[in-house]
Amino acid sequence: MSAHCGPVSARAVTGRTRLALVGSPNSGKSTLFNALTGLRTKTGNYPGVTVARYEGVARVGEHEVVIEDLPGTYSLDPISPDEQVVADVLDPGNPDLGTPEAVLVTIDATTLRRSLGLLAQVMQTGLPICVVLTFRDELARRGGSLDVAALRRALGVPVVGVTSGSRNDLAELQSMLLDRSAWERPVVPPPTDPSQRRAWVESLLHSAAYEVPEADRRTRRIDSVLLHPLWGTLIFFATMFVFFQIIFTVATPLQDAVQSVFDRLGTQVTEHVSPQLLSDFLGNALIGGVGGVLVFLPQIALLFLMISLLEGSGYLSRAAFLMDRLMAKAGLEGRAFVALLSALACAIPGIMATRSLPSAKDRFATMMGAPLMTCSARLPVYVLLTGLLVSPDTRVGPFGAQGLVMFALYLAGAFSAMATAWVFKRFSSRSGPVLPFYMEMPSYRLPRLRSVADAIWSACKGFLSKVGRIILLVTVGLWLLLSLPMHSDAHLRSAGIDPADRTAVSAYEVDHSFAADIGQAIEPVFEPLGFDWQINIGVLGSLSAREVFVATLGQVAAAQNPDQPAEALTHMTYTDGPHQGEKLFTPATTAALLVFFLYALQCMSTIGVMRRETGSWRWPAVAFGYMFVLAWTMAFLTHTVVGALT
Amino acid sequence: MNGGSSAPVVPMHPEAGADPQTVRWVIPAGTLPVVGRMTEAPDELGAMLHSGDIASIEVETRAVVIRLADGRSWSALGAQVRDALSTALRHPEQWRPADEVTEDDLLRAALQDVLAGPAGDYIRSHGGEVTIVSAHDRRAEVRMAGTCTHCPAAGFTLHSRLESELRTRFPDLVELRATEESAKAPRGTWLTVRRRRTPS
Repeated sequence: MSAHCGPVSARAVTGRTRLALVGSPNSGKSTLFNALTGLRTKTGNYPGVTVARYEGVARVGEHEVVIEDLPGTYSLDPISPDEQVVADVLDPGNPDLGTPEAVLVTIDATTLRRSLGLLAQVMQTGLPICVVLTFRDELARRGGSLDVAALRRALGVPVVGVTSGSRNDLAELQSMLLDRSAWERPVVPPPTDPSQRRAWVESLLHSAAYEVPEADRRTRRIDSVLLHPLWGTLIFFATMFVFFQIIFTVATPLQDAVQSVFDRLGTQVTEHVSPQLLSDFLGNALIGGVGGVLVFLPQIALLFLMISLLEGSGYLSRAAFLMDRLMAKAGLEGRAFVALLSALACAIPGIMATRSLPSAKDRFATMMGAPLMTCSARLPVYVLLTGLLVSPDTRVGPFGAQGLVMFALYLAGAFSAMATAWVFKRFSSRSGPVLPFYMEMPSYRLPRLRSVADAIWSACKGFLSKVGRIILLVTVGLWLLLSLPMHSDAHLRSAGIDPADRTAVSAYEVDHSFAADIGQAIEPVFEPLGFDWQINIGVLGSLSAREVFVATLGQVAAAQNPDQPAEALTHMTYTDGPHQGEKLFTPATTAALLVFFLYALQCMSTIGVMRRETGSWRWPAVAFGYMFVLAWTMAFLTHTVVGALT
Repeated sequence: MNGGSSAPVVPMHPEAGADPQTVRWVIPAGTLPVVGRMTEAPDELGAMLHSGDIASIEVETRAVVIRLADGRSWSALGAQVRDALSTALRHPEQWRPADEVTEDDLLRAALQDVLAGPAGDYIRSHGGEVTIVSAHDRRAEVRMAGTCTHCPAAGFTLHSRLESELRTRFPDLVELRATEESAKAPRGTWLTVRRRRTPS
């Protein structure tokens, strides 16, 4: 799962030998790709569709071979856009995409029957093929067997067994890559007729003396608990619950450490930097705003650490399976859950994951719901506001109350996403055929350190680049709005402010800035929710990216009390209007804000991706509109209810 | 393509033969009740044999070896032959061998197939030699020579490897035994494996 980063467009590398890597999901394809190409990879997009294109260069001795990692697919019958891409790339008659010179097909030895079906289709393209047999060690461990020499003879193409981590196996494959003229070609390609193809596969399995592996005993025993309708569901929720507890308890000290660095920087800047304007810019906009967002890096890293651990161990597929039942209630299938689950990282991969849904109706319904899942961009906002709402010392039984609130927010997001999908599915016209849901339950495996590290690194990189670009830009813009117009000393004195008192001056400046004017102008809209102009500016800014809200509040707070911005935030008050002087972040307002962020579509990238995936502005407009109305209504209800209770 | 038959498609796959004109189509043992060279095959396959596209069709216990005529190529005719063969395999009774095939011939071919396969490889791998002495009336006799001669495990190999593999190819087998001269050792008697044919 990648976070924060929309796909980057890239052209195919040309001029060198090009090979394509084809295989089913979980067949060890990506591991092989990484092993062959190392870190020399680049990501791009196929023209016209948002299917990520991965290319890497494998160096074998003096030679370089370009390897393209095609999306994982179970067959070349194009049902979903992913499979369409694989079929198009392998089709020599397709002029838009360069056809590779040869194809490496990864075949999982533990699911040979199904893998051979895909291989048959790839062999029909007539391209030179080398089969890479993976998971032979697991086949042996689970009591299965396979005569590789017989399989090779029966297929009529080279078969290389590769055990992950074995350099010898890899070297054998690499030498195969160089000498493609020696690859045997099948005397007669496999049949195209499905029943004849099944018979072909049957005959191969028999010739290769294939013994089907037993279901991994360990896996079977774990599954009997984890997939149990009652225990499994309970364990799933318990896992998720612990998940959020960890995000809080483990991240807090790290976060404090980062915070203290920025605090010290801020003090240094205010003490040593002149002129005043530069010091303001550095202290408020950069350190207060952007720094305020950067503080959440540990949480982002932790979130992805845990998601990738769950994914790498094989538990995530089980979660999708368990949720399939629940999704059925929303009229959707398990595949939609996978998309919603990806949206936990970021709505963009979530929306892109809807490509695996064959039914257009399901796609749109899932796409409308996906932005409601609690993405990692909401995390900083939630953490900040939860901190204002509940003290870290409050405990409910053995659990921290902050973690509980967080868990509730995630649950509410997930529930709302499914409810939305249900509504959209319900009220969209005509029903299509129900397509079977097919998902693999990989054996439980120890997560690979490399993939976990990759996931965390790419998430952090995405977060940092987002902070460096969009958030920095908007923050600087907001800083200008908050600092302008400049007031002369005479003006300040006439307003009763001592120009020498910096805190008082910056507070006055913020209160009379352009930003304040804008915030006050839209006040009637948000007034029922308890928001004042300061929050309004934050909300307005957060329409570009949610984290900007944190940056804005950071700036406002830093302007009011540069030495202790966190303190300033807690004690922030209404600066005008009927509530002037009252505490701004009352439980009612904070809760309303949380709920507002839960529902509002405040992410330009999501809107952009939605536009591209659906091909029109209609769906993004619908999504933005319904989510804004929903956010306002729910926040209003929350404000009223919590206000009445406290 | 289905030849109008509702019988299931027979599992088969091609393997490269000894020369470019020849392809071994591997099929399950017992699919066809014939062995040897064919003069007649059902439908399209027979037509291709008569038209001269196919030079010869040789049936083995677990394969149909098809040789294309010179000047024809598998890349051009492969799919056509495959479909024709797939259809023809559903009509085993319409295959006609050049010479009349008796049950003894089928048994001998099955035994040859066993000895040419992994069981034979295993015996040859440690210096054993097995040759067919006779195949008659659902009984077969082999001579186990070379290192087999005084090997105490010879009887076990005969029973557990050769006989069981032969039985998968020729289910009506009554017995497979080793000739007396291959068992000069005093323990020779237990080399014989007898099995009453159970009425089925």
